[in-house]
Amino acid sequence: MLLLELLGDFGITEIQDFKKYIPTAKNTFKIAFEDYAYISGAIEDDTIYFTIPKQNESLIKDFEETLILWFKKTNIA
Amino acid sequence: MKQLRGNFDTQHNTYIAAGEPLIFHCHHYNTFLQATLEDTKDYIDIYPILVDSAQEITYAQMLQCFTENHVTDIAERKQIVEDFFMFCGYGKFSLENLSADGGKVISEADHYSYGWKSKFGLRSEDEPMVSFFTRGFLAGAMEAIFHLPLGSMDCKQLTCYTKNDNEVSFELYKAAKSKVLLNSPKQGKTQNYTLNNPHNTGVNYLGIREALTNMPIEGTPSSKGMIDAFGVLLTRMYSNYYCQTSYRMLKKLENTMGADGLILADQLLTEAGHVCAFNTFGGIMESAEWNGLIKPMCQTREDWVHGIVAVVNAFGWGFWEILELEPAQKLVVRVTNGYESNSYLQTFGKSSIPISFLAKGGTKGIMNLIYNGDITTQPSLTDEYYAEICNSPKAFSVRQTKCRAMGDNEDVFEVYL
Repeated sequence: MLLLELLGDFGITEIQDFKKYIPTAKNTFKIAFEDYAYISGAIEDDTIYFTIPKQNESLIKDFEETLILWFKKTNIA
Repeated sequence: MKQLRGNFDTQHNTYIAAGEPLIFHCHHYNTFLQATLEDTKDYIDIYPILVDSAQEITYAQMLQCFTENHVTDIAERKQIVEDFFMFCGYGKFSLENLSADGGKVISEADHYSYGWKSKFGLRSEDEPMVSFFTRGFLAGAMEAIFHLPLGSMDCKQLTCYTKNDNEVSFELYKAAKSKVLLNSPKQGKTQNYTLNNPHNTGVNYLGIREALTNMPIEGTPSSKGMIDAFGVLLTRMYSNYYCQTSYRMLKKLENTMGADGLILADQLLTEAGHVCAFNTFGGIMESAEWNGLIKPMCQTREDWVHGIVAVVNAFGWGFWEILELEPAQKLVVRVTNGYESNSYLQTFGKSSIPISFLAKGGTKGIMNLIYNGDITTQPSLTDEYYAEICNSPKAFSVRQTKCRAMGDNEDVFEVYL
């Protein structure tokens, strides 16, 4: 069992068991930071999503500014 | 505490909760459709339609729910209403202070108020507040809770996010003159059908439908009754709310402007469906759930078309199937038990024009997203991208070639260049 799926047993990640319905599907995971944001993706996929719900306008703005700053610093390095 | 949840009926591809069909739609469609309807205000009295339609439907549903479940206690009835509103993604409020004479209701969140501000920004001083649906919902629910006659209560909105207020609030009161409201069409004129997997794709329609209808897509207390999924704010909205508001507008425009009114309504309502497709379908095709459930089955762009059509079968919109797909050229979709025809036939009978505007706009949006743009490359779904792929001379066109409301056995849509 993958770590993400194991963490699902402890309620830390939310696993969508799509394989139950279509064996060739990939299950998906979601790690929620209360209702402020969540990380999600398909297990064994190469894309991860970081989502901030639209209601959290100030957090979206802070996150975007932090991301821009991080990329600028990385480029300088 | 009893909860009103409903079930997904696979013989109709519909969610039914206490007799009312519910369908998934996003804040883009909800607010764009409302904006479209409000744009007719100089020609017709649209605002009562937006409130009364919700009042009729909510009253009918809650009355059926309380009767079927033998719920007589007022406090329990209030809890069922609060919980259902939240579950459907409409927002969150407390009815604690409500009595049979009325009262104030404060919302912690409201889908229309938040969705409008998110999409269009603030409203000007001379424009009304936006939560017409919630006003009607509260009035209808209150009448059912306290055994009051339909149309005897009214509701005004006191504060709204679109007016830069920090909360959303309403006041319920006895109507000065009782409104003459009608029965909900409920499920309407339905068709039984069985969904099958097509032979010309590896996309598993039945598996996708089963997976998605078992996903917990719902508002919760911690999310304040908002459903943030696939990059949009979703609702499990009454299909009859869309139908009653849209078709009543259509009828009034026809009465006021004749055939020109019908043409105008067709264009406006189809565009609302198109906007929905771009944002909701586009958001779904760029989501983790798509990557996990559907993308592993997609070898070609044609499989992507099948994939999103398969997903629609879990929305409660009826049965969507592809009759013909010519890559990058043409798409023909059949809709069986479509909610638009079901509702129109029940309320208005036969139509002289095709009336499945959402499906029309939706099928056009699919082709524009997949072939005019390229959703497989995960572009940003901005207004600029919409203009580029959906409103350019290269964009696809659509016509409804068969319509149940006109006497055909099915609704069929042809998307072409």
